[in-house]
Amino acid sequence: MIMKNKRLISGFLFLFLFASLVIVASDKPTKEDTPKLPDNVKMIIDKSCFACHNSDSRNEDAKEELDFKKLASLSMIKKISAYKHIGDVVEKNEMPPKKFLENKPEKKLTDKEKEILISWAKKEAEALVKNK
Amino acid sequence: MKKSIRIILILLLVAFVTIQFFQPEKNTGETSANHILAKENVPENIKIIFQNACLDCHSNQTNYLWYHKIAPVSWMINKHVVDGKEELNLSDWGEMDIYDKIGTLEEICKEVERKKMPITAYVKMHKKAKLSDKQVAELCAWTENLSLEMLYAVEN
Repeated sequence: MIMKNKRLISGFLFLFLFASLVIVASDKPTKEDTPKLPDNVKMIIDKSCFACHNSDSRNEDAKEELDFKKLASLSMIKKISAYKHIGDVVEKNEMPPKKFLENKPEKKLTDKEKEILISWAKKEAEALVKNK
Repeated sequence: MKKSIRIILILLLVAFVTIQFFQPEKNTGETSANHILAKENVPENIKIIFQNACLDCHSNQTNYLWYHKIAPVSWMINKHVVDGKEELNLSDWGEMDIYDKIGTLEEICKEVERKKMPITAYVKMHKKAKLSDKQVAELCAWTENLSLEMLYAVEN
């Protein structure tokens, strides 16, 4: 009886250990989840875009439109159009939205920052088309 | 009292007739060789979607209904057409580069999937513009397919 209990307990323990291993392993972000951004681009995105455009944002529209945390795991076509769209909205001064900038004027993109973002987005899209 | 009502009615009538002389330019241009339906091999079911639900505002040819020519309705229609063409003009499809085309196709699917397009006012006037779930799925499958086709047709 005691033996049986012991075996049962060690069985449970083993199961528990295995389960936690699986959880830990699956929780680890894969390489695809984190896009590699050049430092200067990352700084601009962190400053002016990321707060709304990430999976944990409470701005549903913004994260549906573009989620920087998921960008790298999108299909090739979706990625190309995302980069194209980033370049377009920045160029047309549509992003960050005017309303948002009224409260946080410091998040406005400077001309230099816009230039960096636009040329980065263009380069990424071109690379995708070239290396398909 | 009766007289004043009559005066108001006459004034309204005069105003209504007067505004008829201020008509916006009609969107009835020549069909272009750059039109998406001319450039791409669009299957019949997708062509029907474009014709019924998109091209009136997103091309150089609008099919006007009789009351669309009467001000102030004509002004409203004109605004929709001008805004629509500014956003996307499928008559100019052939002039777009690959990035524009892929981005546009993706956007077409997204807008339709989220029921943002065609706009409610348009669907109210054009019953055929109401797209079924099946049509939306077909349209999105087609946009993705065409994007991939174009992508792999680009020579490095």
